[in-house]
Amino acid sequence: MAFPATSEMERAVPTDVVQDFETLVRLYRPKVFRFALASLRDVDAAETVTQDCFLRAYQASGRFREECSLQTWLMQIAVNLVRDHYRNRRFQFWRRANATAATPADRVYATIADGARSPEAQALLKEQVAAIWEAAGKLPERQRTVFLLRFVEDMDLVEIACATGMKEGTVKTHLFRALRAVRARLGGAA
Amino acid sequence: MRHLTSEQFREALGAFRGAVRDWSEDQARGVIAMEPAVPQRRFWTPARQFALALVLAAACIVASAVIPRHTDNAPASDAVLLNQVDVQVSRTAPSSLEPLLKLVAQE
Repeated sequence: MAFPATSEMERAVPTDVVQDFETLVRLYRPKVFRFALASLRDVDAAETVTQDCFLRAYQASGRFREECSLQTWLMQIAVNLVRDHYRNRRFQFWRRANATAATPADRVYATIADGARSPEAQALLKEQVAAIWEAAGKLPERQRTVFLLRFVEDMDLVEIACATGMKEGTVKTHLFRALRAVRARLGGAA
Repeated sequence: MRHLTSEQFREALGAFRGAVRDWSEDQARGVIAMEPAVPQRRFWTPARQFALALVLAAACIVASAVIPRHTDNAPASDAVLLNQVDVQVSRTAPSSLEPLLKLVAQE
């Protein structure tokens, strides 16, 4: 299996982490899986990408030079794998995505069940989450990746730049365009 | 179209983040929950296959020892059978026609 040809990925994981790879997987697996799932919207594909991500990380564990954090390095691998998967199986992805029943909007009530919101406010928030989810799915690939890394994974611009291989200014541009598109969609839903 | 303030937009993005995280955890649990459905062990393991082969071999040995052999009686049986054939073949006519043959011989 070929390692993604990205120079930034040729870094070595710190020795203690290499020795305890199970800890690495336990710590970062949810994050990698979440990003893959939010990007591909297919559980099987996300699981495949997640496993492939850690396999490649293990294979390349001797080449990590700590130019960015371990988490960012893993997300860099995940971003490349998601990109490859999306491009290779674009039509399958959309066909399967359309068949997916559950969306994050279905989890809104559980997420915000703090008792401080009226039922109307909760319903409105659910509509907004559904609108953001729909808008994110229609974003161009790079904008969607940047949007998800920023607003789901909570990564800052420098980390996103490292994970995507873009310059920080490029990340800002994609993020601005993504936010503009999402907000336009949300304005209609609100 | 209703205008959305920056504060409302931030709040919606925060809810989106939480919802995606919860949803992802649900989906991950679904993947994990599906794993036990896959049979963990096959019935025909190599050990069981070997045991079955031993049982079949033992059954064959026992059967060969218990079931009576007829090879000793075979020559006698063959002799009786050959005599019967010889008698049948040596007859010039079937037994039902023998009286008729006697009449013809007398004439």
